[in-house]
Amino acid sequence: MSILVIAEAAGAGFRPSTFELLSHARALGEPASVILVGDDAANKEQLDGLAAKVVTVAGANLSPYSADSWVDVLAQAIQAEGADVVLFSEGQRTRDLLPRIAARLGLSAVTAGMGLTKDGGSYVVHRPAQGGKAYMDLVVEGGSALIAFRPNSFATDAAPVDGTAYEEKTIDAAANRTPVVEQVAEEGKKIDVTEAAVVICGGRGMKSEENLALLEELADILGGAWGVTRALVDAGWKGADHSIQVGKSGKTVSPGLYFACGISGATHHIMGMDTSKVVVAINTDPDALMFEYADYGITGDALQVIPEIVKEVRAVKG
Amino acid sequence: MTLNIVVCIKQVINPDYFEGLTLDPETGSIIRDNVPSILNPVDENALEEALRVKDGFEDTTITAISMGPPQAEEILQWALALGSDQAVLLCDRAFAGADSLATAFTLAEAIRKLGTVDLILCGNEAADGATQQVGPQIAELLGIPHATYVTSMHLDNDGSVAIRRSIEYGHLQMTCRTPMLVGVLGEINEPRQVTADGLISAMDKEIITWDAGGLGVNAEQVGLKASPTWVEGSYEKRIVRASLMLEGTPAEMVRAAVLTLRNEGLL
Repeated sequence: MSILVIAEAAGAGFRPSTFELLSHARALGEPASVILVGDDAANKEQLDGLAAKVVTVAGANLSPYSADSWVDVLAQAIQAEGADVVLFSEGQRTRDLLPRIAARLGLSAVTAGMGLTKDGGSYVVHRPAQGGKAYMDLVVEGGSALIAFRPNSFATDAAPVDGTAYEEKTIDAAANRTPVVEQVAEEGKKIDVTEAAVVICGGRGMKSEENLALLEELADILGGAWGVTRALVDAGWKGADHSIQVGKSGKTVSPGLYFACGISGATHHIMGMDTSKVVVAINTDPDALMFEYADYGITGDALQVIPEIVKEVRAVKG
Repeated sequence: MTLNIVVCIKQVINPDYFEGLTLDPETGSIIRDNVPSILNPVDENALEEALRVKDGFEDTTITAISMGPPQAEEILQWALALGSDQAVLLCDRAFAGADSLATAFTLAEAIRKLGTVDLILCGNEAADGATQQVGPQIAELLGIPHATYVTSMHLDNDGSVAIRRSIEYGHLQMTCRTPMLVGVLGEINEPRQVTADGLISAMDKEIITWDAGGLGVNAEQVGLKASPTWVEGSYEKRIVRASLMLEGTPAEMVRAAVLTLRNEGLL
């Protein structure tokens, strides 16, 4: 049995989800091998004690990221490692790479994973199915699948391992037919709403764009990210960008804690957040559909309730 | 410049009806009876992008292609009325039950059969399956590059394609070349409406139907038979939430909520 993790760098380290996958592999008693491609290897020492082996892959056309060359190099590296399961973090880059690598290697591509257990010689992936109407447990035979997991799926506290082996490889991609000529970081896209452990989301009940600052304030003191519903994006509110839209046609989030502020609970919104662990809904209408998808409901005006939460959290956190 | 564009489109259950859907307790699959179907929303943007290329390059042929049951002809009619030149329906019981790779294989074989293709456009994801896998897999099977999450695209006279794609922290600007596959996001454009003239001209256009035989593939290569057996997972119902309504003044409710969340280790 062996687990391979494809790490993904972010900022001065890695995406939190990378640490989750490595921790879960240790918790399963199978400390992972991890592959770092191109610039992702810059902070490899942060993985010391978290993985059994760190394989860094250098080569032509790997920096900056390009789907064409990365698919080629990752497919070769994955084949060389020959693991039972290959784990990715859900995200736009994974969605760009994973299906194509799977097609090249003749493997199954499994997305939206939320749990992973061992069952004898197989692995079982827990994931939402049928547009979030149900959950399914997929049995994955060794060596058959690439699996992407949603952020916030696993704890990160499994005990470290003694000694991480390091290996360096050079693999040149056959070609790079999708060269990136410019990378642009956009304001407001810093903390990704899909990655945050706490998400504060606002809907029509926020009443006007000036009030979105309330979401940001609560997100800031909870160390989370804030988002909006499609209605606010469609209405063109300043700050209500598509990049933070939670729902079917926007981002799918799965945080530990989700605040739905002034959100009615339309299906397209629910489908973007219904795997959140704990949901708190705030709405003036006690019959709002959103309360059916909440663990805790607060009947009230989000514009008054959010400042109360901010005050209370400040009080208890000191 | 002569251009051949293929647009892959899909008929999906109208997302507005997702809430009322029920699952077959045996198979876990959606019971689709009496649920209205529509063209997958973002596929409209893929069609629009193809039409805009044709607006700029007169000698462009647009082929809309869909794999699905006979009623998927409806969305192909729509594509023809919008201005596509021809349409292909891939329809065979053998295609049913396909996972993303088997779907991509079937579509890729059809695109091969159409001959030279410069540009393949598709929606970044389908409103139902939402795997976002079929586009990149078609590109892989045809050996051409792909770009996903595309928010802007400009094709030049010399076959170079300037692509802007969304990424978590911002966007990437890429310079690619035809032939390639592009998966578009809804924000790439505002789709045009069908006109009366469009509807009339669509009557003279043909929808070609290919079954497995017509496509030259055998039944083992497509549909359920070509899809891994593990799709038959065990199903359970969705999480049932407590829906505990807190009581009191806003301050009291908030105090209770914060206390509870702290006790659960969430704050």
